[in-house]
Amino acid sequence: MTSAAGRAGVWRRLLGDRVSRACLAFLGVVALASLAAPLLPLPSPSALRLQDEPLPPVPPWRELFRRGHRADTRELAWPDARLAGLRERLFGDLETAPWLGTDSKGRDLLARVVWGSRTSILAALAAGLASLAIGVLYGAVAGLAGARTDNLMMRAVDGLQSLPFVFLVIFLIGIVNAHRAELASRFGVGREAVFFLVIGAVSWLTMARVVRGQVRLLRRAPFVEAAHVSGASPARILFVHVLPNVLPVVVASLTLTIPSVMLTEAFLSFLGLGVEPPHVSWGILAADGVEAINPVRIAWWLVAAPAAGLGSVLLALNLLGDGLRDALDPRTSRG
Amino acid sequence: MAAAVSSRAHRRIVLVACVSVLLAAVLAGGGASSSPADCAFVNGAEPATLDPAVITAIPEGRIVRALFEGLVARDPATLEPRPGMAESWEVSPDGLRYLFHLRRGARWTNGDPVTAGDFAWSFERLLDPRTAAAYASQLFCVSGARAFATDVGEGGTPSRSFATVAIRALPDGGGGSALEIVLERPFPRFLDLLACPQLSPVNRRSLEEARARSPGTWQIDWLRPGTLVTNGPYRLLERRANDRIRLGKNPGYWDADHVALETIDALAVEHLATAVNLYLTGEVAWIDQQPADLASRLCLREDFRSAPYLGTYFYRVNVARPPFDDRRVRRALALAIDREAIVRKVTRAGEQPLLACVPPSMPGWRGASMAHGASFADDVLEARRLLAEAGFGPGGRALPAIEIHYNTRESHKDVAEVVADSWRENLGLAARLVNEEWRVFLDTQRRLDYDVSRSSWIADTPDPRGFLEIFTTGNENNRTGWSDPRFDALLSRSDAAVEPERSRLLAEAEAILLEELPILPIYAYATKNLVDPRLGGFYDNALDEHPLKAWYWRDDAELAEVRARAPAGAERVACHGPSRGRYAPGDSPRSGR
Amino acid sequence: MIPFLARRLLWFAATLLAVATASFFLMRAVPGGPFDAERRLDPTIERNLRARYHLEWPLAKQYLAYLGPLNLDERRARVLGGDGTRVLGGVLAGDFGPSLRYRDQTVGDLLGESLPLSLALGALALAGAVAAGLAAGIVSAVRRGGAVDFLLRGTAALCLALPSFVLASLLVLLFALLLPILPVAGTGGWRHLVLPAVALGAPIAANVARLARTGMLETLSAEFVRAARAKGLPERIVLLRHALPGALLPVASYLGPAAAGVLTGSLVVERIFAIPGAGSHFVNSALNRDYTLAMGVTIVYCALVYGLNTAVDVVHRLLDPRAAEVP
Repeated sequence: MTSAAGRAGVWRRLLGDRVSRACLAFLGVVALASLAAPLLPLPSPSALRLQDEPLPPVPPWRELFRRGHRADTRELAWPDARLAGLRERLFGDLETAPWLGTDSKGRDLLARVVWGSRTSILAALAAGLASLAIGVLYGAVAGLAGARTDNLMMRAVDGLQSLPFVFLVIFLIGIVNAHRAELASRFGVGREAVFFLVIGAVSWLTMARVVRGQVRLLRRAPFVEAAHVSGASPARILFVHVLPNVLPVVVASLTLTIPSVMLTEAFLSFLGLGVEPPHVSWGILAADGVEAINPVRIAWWLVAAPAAGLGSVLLALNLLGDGLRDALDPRTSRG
Repeated sequence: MAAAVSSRAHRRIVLVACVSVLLAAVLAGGGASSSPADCAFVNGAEPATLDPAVITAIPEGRIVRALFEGLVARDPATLEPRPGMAESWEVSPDGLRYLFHLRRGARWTNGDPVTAGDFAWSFERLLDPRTAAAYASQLFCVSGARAFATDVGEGGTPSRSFATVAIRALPDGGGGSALEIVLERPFPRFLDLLACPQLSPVNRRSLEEARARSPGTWQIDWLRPGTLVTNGPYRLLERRANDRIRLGKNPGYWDADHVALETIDALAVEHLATAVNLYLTGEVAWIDQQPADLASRLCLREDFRSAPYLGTYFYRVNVARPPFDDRRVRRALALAIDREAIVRKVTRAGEQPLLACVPPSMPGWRGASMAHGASFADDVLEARRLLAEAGFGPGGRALPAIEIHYNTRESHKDVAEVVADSWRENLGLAARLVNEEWRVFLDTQRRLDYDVSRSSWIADTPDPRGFLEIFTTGNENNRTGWSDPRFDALLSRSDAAVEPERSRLLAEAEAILLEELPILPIYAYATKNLVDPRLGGFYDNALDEHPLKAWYWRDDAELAEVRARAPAGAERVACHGPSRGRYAPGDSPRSGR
Repeated sequence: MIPFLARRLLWFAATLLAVATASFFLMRAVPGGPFDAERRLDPTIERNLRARYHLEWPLAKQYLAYLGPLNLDERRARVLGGDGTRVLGGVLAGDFGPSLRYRDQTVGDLLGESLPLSLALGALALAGAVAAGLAAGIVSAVRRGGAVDFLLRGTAALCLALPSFVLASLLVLLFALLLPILPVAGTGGWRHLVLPAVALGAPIAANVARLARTGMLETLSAEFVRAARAKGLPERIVLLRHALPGALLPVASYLGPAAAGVLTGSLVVERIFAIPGAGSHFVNSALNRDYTLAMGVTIVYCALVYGLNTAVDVVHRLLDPRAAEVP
């Protein structure tokens, strides 16, 4: 039973745990850097500076900044464009030296990691939102409904899960590409938006299943029976009584879904189905980095950078998930 | 207690079941380890089919060339026509009638003799529209062939009989046979054409037996390893999709004494980095593609063989869509491409900047070239001037963002980025990259729903016409919407002409193409083969054809000699393969020659 | 149990039909066809080629012919192909048809060659992962807070955080190139399966380790374990007989998603290690518009996922009778 006081207790418990605090802080920094990416004095992630080989990392104590910043070549959305303008005024010609090295086309890896985090975060958000909006509702409705409706709804989920995900991605992207021009002009929807839509469309299934299981168990709980007897409408039962109590399960499922979505994005990029240049994502960086692993020439920084980025964020998410589960666990809240 | 016992029993059952399933799976799927082949190479994508009449792609061509032999074969080094199944031939003085004397004693793997009748039947099959052979048009120079293939009646069957086609099997003295072919017009390249793998013979008896045995699936059955009947230096031993095709030496081949390797594996590996790893560990002796990133390191090695290749990389321009209907805009775009940068920094495997439609490495060809300035800077100035003249750029209208279409592949993306960058920097144009999956990309190109689209063209035969004919009006490979009656007229006149008139007309046609520029030429391909230094019989040529028949392993002495003769400065690499070499029974070790 | 399984079977058939139908029509809605190539075919030739595979028929007719018993070919003597070739016998007759991309083989051939390999790889990966993960989780729980615990949890975190293809490449670099003890790619024996299985199973092992550790920790602090210890039982018995089952339950419920993860992870691993498994057919059949192979793969995948889910539910019901409430 989560009341306002209960929820405040959860928050307090979460912040009290050192590990969870550190994870929250780290994720906050990542999110902030990602949001403020156009403002940071980083080199352009997409401007080409053709060279023969990738340059190894230059440690910050050797060289901090250099001149000769080339402006970003992409068409940026207006908030980003404003930030980019601000950056020009603040830093002018300066940009950071290649602290993480460059790839063979001269693109700074640090800049690509920071900008790439946007794609990963957006994918995570899309999946999270879809899971929360569609998955929770669908699962709760199925859980509260009669046996036949519930059965039908769950078999539909089964069916959707049985469709190979990669097929769906390829087909949806192919179909969207065919109508690319109309979509762009009428709805302002680009290829990237479709990519995130597809990710969202597939992520809500596990959440629905998990929530439905939990709601079915809760259905027999006394407080739900009481609400039902006292004449509460199904909607009220759903939103006021049931949903707040599936929160632990939802959170637990989210902390498993989001890392898996980020890895899925990497996997799709490896297959060439992810976002396209000049956009960059951690998946593309990882896929590029994999090409660099061979006995002829090992440009280890091309793998280390995205792996570190992806790894640290996933680790933080996992640890935060553990902390959230502990904080929300009714046993620890009562005991 | 009872519940605990039964759950324990349950668990034990489940455990035992899992373990046994696992063992069975591993044993079954672990795969029988087969003995390694004498030689293995990476063949690229899995061949779609091994039916010679229907093949189109290079990996298929390699296997078919090893399995079958046509009338004429190509010399591995010079690409000149050599006797194949035809021991000798005569050409009439007017260049229309060819008579091929079939080799006596040549046999199929099922024991049947190879006769001219086999060739006549195979050519009929090739031309028959029901076979749906993509390269049937190669034989359209034969009198009556075009009509036979295109005059289609009820249910898709040809309405004319094959007797109207001027291909006849004749008896040759002494129990042999000869094949007579009469052309519509003299065609000096006809012998080259006959060396194409699509014009290989097919054993009629094996097809008909398969059809009788399994009427529903005969089209698949006759191609299986156990039943495929071939006449070439190798036969089909095993085939596993996406894994390998194992070829074994055909002891009944007429030249078996000069075939050195007993078994060869053609591996289908798609991931380039994996192919490189396989090569570097000695699992394969030849790969023909590497990730572009490694090219700069690999080209310093002694085993890196780069030679000009008859292939071009260019961008098609949608001539039907304004503003690209203005020739000046197209020329400006073409001039503002920094080909040197692309060739030196992006592809890095010895490609050459291309300013023509036909690659300059075409043997015996001197073609036209796109007019350009002394340096790239001059070209950029000229491009700006042209744009201004056309009414765009500063002081004029703004050009809309140009969409560059390419199919999903790192190398295409890189080139597109450089081109887009250059147009942005030098001409102030916004360019957007559109990456599409291969089939969607082709569909978009066909529907002319693009601004600029990436393309490439590879030659089948060393004939410049192949590169030019695709831009005639209405050709299904045109896909630019460009049409010029002068160009079409020159090409059809060249059909009737003989050398050197023919080349002159073709060069004139190319000049027109390069004025109008429905395409933006970028670079001419170069081969980038990594070949184990110990592998002999592998020659660089403009078609990048390396018939397996000629391969052998060098012994240490010959290897040392080859290395001594090679230009200095190349990085030595480890060789794999037998140190005693492996030579054909009819050859001796070649050191000291 | 029996009624439960029977119900599941019925739903399986219905789901399969729905999935097959949806895939069938969705696939053909995507632009591009199986015979598109840079060097475009002459229109007549292309039409003949498509006609050989009945791609010119109206969609509904193709659909029915694909499913089966309406063997439309044999009713018409003259089909393009000239000799009444029966191209599609129908899925219900066990015939998935010829592949449109690998034209010398039927879909049955292709799946028959590739599935056992993929299943072997998956089973090996899964078994190895469960074994390694359980062991790591138990040791970690027992030696909680120590250096071993830290090391194991760190490795687990690393395996979870790296995409499988990065892990695969690192494994290839370490164990096939720098230390040439295992083959770099390809098939030909059990040694070729080791690295791919490790790459596939590592994330699963990490998750299993985490779940086992948590479950073990909970059980170890429970009453009945303390009672067992108080009774003087040796530690080994306490761990294996009394505490371990508690750790197994969360692992068992994770096996379903784990197996699904192995299925999808195999796409990348099979590509990197050049293993001719069913995973490559997944991606390639969609990219090549190989309708028949894609349908075959979809059906097999659907059957596998459904089967796995059912198996997991069965295991659940065996281990925890309360779960029987949830159908």
